[in-house]
Amino acid sequence: MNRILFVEVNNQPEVLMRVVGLLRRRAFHMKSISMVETENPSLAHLMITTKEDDYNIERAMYLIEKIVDVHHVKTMEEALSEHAVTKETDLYRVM
Amino acid sequence: MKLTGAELVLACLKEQEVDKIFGYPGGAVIPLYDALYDQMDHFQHIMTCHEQGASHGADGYARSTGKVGVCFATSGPGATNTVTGIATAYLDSVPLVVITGQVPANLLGKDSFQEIDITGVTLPITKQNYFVRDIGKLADVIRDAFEIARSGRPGPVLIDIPKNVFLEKVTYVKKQRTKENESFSNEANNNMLMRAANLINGSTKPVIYAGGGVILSEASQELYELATKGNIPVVNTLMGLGNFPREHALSLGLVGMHGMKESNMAVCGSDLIIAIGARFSDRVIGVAEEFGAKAKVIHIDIDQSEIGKNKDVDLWILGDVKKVIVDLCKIIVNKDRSEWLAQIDDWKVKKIAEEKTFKAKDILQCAWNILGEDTVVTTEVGQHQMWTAQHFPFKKPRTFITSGGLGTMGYGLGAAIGVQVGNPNKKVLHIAGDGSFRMNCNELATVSKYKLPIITLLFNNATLGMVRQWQQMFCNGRYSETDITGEVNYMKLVEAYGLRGRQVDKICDLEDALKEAVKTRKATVIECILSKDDNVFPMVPPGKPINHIILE
Repeated sequence: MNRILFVEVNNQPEVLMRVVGLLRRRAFHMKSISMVETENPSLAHLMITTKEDDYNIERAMYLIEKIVDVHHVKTMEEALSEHAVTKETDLYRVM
Repeated sequence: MKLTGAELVLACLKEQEVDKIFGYPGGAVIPLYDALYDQMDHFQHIMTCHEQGASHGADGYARSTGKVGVCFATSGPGATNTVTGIATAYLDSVPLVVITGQVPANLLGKDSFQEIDITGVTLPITKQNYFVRDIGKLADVIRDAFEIARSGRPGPVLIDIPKNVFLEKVTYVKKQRTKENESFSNEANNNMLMRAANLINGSTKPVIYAGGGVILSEASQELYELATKGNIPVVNTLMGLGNFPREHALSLGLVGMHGMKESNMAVCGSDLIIAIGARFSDRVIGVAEEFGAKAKVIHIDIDQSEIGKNKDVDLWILGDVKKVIVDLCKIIVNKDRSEWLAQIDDWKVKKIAEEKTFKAKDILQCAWNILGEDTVVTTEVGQHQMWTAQHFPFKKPRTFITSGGLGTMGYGLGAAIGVQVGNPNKKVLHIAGDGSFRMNCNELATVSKYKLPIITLLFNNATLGMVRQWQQMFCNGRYSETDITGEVNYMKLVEAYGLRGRQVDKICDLEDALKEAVKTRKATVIECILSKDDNVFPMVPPGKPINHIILE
């Protein structure tokens, strides 16, 4: 089952690099990554879809929380309960 | 008050009570050094021979004093030369602020002369880093950098500043440093504390596994009280040495791959491991499941990401180690554990009275006897480092400065410079192998320039001893590229730097040389000639549980 890591961060590209770099070094599987500015332009929401198991996700969350520019991390089940907006992108190829 | 960016940097360093800076000038930091020129009455700048030496110097300064170390370097190669120093500090949780110059903003991203994306390079080895494009943010970035470097689990922070920002002007308003205390939820902790105390009180064979976090948290006295109240033996990680007096009956010394036999056996035979400010490093635990296979594990640490990372634990307490130990000490009972201590005593390798030889152990014993407990020891990495960890009976915290996590050969001399600058009245002993010594011995020029009375014990066994030991034990003695042939005359080299050198191969000569160095307070390099075949024992082969000990 896919799960989504939902990370609220300061709206700076370095944070994306830090979070993704940290996960990459641990060979963390990432199906999709998206970072969008929020209604408050100083903040952004970073969403990472993954197939990792609960243990790996929990370890990743502890590490992500340590990053200075990260405000908090949730997994999507928790986030959904607070009516977070998820985003999907469909790509079509017209022959 | 209007200041240039460069003046602002120095003003903010003053806010943070910085007075020692390690660094090396270069094109992009010319404005910073120009501002420094006017403030030499406040700052002491130690100009090393290489930026790596400067970063290790700031690191040694930080570890020995508990303050934040500060390092300046220029853009490009200056900045990349600090990378090993930053990584060393990151792995050992050392508070460091590294300020690098960058090419002017209009030249960024154009492969300009000495341009490198140093914030990109140091992303995985800093707690946080900043690229300051806007001078309006510079002051707060510097304040935040210091706060981040020293708070929670300390670590290095890098600030990259383009040359034009150093030259622009901005209004400066002084801000006093606020000393914030991190508070942890007491409720959760109280519950955990009670459960931890119950486990400790119910345990008949507990062992405290104390790491560098105890030193970072200034909790050595509290650890002493906890251990002595509960009669609980203490094993130390490499980073933890000095947090519990080695000559105390409850001290079992180093644990892990080169741990003392009684330490490793105690951990494996215990029913409760109390890990304090330690991170269950692979060099300590060997095989995670066998590290205290029958024991419950309590983990006390400030960093949540360490809990359960390398070893599953039964109970953990998050928080400042010092506060947790104080609270825990109040609720544990004074318990007689003489049966357990006697069992541990049986594990000790009985000393046979040997005649005095010229082996590492005897050399270190001699140095301890002459230099005393207040001496701060720095090492490089390898056999000499492990011998020092095993045989030097450290009594006080912040007296053993060594690269643990990263294992940086070439660390020790730079670190010794930092230690001596931060502690001008203390004796500083730098212990090096010949392999490590060659890596950064250029810093002898810095020792000479600043007249630092550092004593170097150069263990010359004409080989990269630790790698050779592995080759001997695991590669059928195929000594591939580990022998160091005698093309360098170290005594002449030392002399060329204007320092004193002495070559010794007898304990009585070593005594003489050390006494003379202490008396004259002049930098001395004492070259001790050792055999290639002296290996570090006890040793646990890699990938084996730590009770699989090879004794010789």
